[in-house]
Amino acid sequence: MINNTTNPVLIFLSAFVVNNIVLIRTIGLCSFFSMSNSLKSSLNAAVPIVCVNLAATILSWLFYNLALIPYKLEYLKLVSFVLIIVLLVQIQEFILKKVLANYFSTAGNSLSVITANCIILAVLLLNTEYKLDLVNSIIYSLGIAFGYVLAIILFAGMKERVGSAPIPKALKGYPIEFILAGLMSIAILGLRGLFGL
Amino acid sequence: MLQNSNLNAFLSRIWRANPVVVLMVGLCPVLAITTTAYNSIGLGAAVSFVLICSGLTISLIRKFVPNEIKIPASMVIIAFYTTFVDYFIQAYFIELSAYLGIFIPLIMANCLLLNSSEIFYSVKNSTTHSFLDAAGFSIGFSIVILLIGSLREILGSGAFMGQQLFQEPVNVMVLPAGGFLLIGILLGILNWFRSRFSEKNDK
Repeated sequence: MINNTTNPVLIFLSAFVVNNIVLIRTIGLCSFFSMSNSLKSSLNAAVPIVCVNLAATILSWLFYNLALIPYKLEYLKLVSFVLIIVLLVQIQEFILKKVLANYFSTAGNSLSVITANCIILAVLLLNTEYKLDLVNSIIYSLGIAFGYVLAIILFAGMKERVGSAPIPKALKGYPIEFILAGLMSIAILGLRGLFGL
Repeated sequence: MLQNSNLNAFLSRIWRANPVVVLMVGLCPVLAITTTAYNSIGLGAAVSFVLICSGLTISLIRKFVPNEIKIPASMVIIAFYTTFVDYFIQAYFIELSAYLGIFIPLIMANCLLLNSSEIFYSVKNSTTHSFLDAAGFSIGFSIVILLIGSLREILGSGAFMGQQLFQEPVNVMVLPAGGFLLIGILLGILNWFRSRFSEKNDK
């Protein structure tokens, strides 16, 4: 378990690999499976996740600690976090449509699905659960975002190799992908307990 | 009044368009929580409650809410019911809430709900239809997670509903990796059955 006294490097490592958000906590699987068809589409998923994650962490930390806790309104946490995420996703879609029209056409409609997925909400909830301060929350959320990027890029690479491999007909598609993800998860389990994380 | 199309929508959610094994939505809690059958039942009940209540509410207010804010509006409704369930479980089922942890609030972000609220919005059907659709969704979801939860508990901790069945279980099955492997194998078996069945139909 991490808290405010944990070394920032260890906080990052915990979020990045040891408790990897996709493979150990199994959060954000929908986009993990649907966006990892090629290396390019997985990179497309990576950029918005990192940006929205960072912005949402800062905004929600400020809102939670300056508005909700002083007035004892913690039960509004979920509603306010969700609205912050929706707001950020709308802003991001707007920016991408205006500035990066080319990028938007490749990433397409799935963008809002990626960003509205469980990962961002999970980061915000974990930050409040561990009661991290602002700097540590930012480090933790960056660790989680990069952990997601690491997992999805590795997974996209493996999927490309498996696509050309001779596998039983019944296992094609999702079944073999789940088994691959399970094997990756076992590999990362080897790091469990590293530095007492 | 039960119309045929309503009944069809209800039944298709259980088998042909099952949320977990066919549509591949709502996977996050399926893998993280289904380590025992008891947890699966708890999660299934929580998800069903949120799904049915939010579906009913959304279908009732659909006519008054403009299209531009339909996503924020439905999210606030889902968040309301999720918070309710979260506090209810914390108050009455302390052990379960310690186990489910952040996955109860995460029901909110579940793609399953977003998908279904999208469906309730787009379909110009009655409230009955929305209710049956939501009920079908939740029954399909609950059956699958109960199956996965029981298998993982039996294989991973050698017990069923807390009753010890045998010694030296396969520990990996209660870890996240075991969840991935088990779902992969189950989907493979389902695919195999499906291809056998359709081949027979062709002949």
